[in-house]
Amino acid sequence: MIDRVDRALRRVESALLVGLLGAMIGVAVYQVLARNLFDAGLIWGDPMVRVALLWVTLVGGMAAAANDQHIRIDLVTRFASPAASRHFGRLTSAFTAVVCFALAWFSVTLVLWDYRDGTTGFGVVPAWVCELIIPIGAGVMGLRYLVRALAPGHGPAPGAS
Amino acid sequence: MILLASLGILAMALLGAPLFAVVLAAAMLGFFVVDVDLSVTAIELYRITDTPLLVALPFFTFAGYLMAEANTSRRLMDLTRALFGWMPAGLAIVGFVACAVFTALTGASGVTIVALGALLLPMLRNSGYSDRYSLGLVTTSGSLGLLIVPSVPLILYGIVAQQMDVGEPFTIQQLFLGGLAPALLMIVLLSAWTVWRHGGVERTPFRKEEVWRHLVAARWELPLPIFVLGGIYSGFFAISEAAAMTALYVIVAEVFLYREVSLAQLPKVMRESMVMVGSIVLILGVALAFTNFLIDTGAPQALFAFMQEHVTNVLTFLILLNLLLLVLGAVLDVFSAVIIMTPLLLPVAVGYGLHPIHLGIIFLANLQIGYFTPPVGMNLFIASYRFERPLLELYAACLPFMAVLLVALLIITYVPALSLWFL
Repeated sequence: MIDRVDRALRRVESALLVGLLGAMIGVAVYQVLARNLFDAGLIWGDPMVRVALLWVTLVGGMAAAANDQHIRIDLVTRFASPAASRHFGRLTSAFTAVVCFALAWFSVTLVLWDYRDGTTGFGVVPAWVCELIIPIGAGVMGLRYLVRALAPGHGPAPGAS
Repeated sequence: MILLASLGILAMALLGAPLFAVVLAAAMLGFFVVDVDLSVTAIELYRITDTPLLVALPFFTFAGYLMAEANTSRRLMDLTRALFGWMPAGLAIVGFVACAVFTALTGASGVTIVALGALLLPMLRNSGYSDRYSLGLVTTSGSLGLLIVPSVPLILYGIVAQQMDVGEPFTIQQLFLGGLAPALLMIVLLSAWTVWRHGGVERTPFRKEEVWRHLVAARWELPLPIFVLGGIYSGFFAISEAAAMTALYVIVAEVFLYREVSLAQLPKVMRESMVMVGSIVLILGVALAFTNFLIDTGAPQALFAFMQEHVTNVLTFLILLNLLLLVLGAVLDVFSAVIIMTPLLLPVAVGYGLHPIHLGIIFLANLQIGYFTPPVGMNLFIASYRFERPLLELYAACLPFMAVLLVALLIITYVPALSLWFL
């Protein structure tokens, strides 16, 4: 069950990452051409690209959590025995899960604030929609590390890509 | 209690917890202690969208990944060889130059060792260089281009430093200019040392038709430096836009003109590069929160005051700085090191009278050496894995190169004019 959800999630993440990068390149290049050739441009273009980067950050973070590819200091794990490395892995995964859940929790507050105040993100898109990826991304990363802490057998081994 | 929690977080970092979680935990602990609502961490993370320059990161990273996937490394090698192979110890110099350019384009994530090293190593050995020298060259040169446009770590340093708003203001364009002479110095010193030691080994005669042949082969990639540099320095577009144009151009060149990466492969490259960008920017986002906490509590000033009490002259400070950064460079990857250490070190360095650009160059020159500093520099492991050699052999092979680059580092550190000549 967990594995099935995980696979579906991975497909969504990949599609999002490709779509976001494609859109960022497209809009940014259009802005350059429009400004230099026709002295025009999209008012919402630049902020949209910057919000897309936030989404890339969180979705990329989710995908990195799926394969445990996040940047770390691998000093101890490199020289510790495999058994010890596994224990450390479960411990640090539990720690990471707690931190991610905390971020998810506190970012929901931010989303609710901006929902109530009706703040605008870019163009007609409200800010809370732009921010929504923070609790989602943090929550998914938290779940993935929780699974890794409780049942390290699920998903590929750490470091595999 | 707070001390205990801090130590716990530190232990998690050393045991290999993801760095974003470590920094985020530190920020949350900090804000909790000074009684600030922890939603501030999410607000700080959202500040990613307030940093226009940051958008350059995904574009340049993607372009680099795509070039690493195509045969760019081969073409770069061939062209450099046709141009510089006639010099004494020509092939070694070709190696330095090609590695530096390729690392500047792709970032120092080990791609250079994997892609270029595999080409270079047999060539060097066949031309009469000792096994040890050849191994040392391909391992140490994997981070040689860290100071050259459009190096992503350099952009990252610029972004973080500009957020701090201490010391002389500067532009990313100036930061790039600052890196040129130090990068050149490293290549020249390495080449001079090689000529002195291996002078008579080999030379390839210079032939115009060879140069022409390889220029033609590289024709679709040759406009790239003009794109990047012209874009950045002409003022027609911002750096982030130059990066977007570069990304689009590299897609056109590799997928449609060279046809070395198929359309079907493109999503995979896009995904992989964005996972990399995601994990870097995530650390940056949470570090923004942590930095703000530090500044609110006056930590950089306290650190500076403490340093001033114990270290009175600039020279001693610079030596300490170099030692600290060498150790850091061996333990941390270059991105995290820049993101996490710049906010702490910049105010202190400015206090000692360093220019932010000069600090950035010292910073990256150090991290570049840290990449292959025994026993744990990352490139040592990559080379050991790629060339199937024991680590001890690589340590020995890298040491002479390290000595030469340390001389370069000392010159870069104590001759600020090298990084600041254009100001």
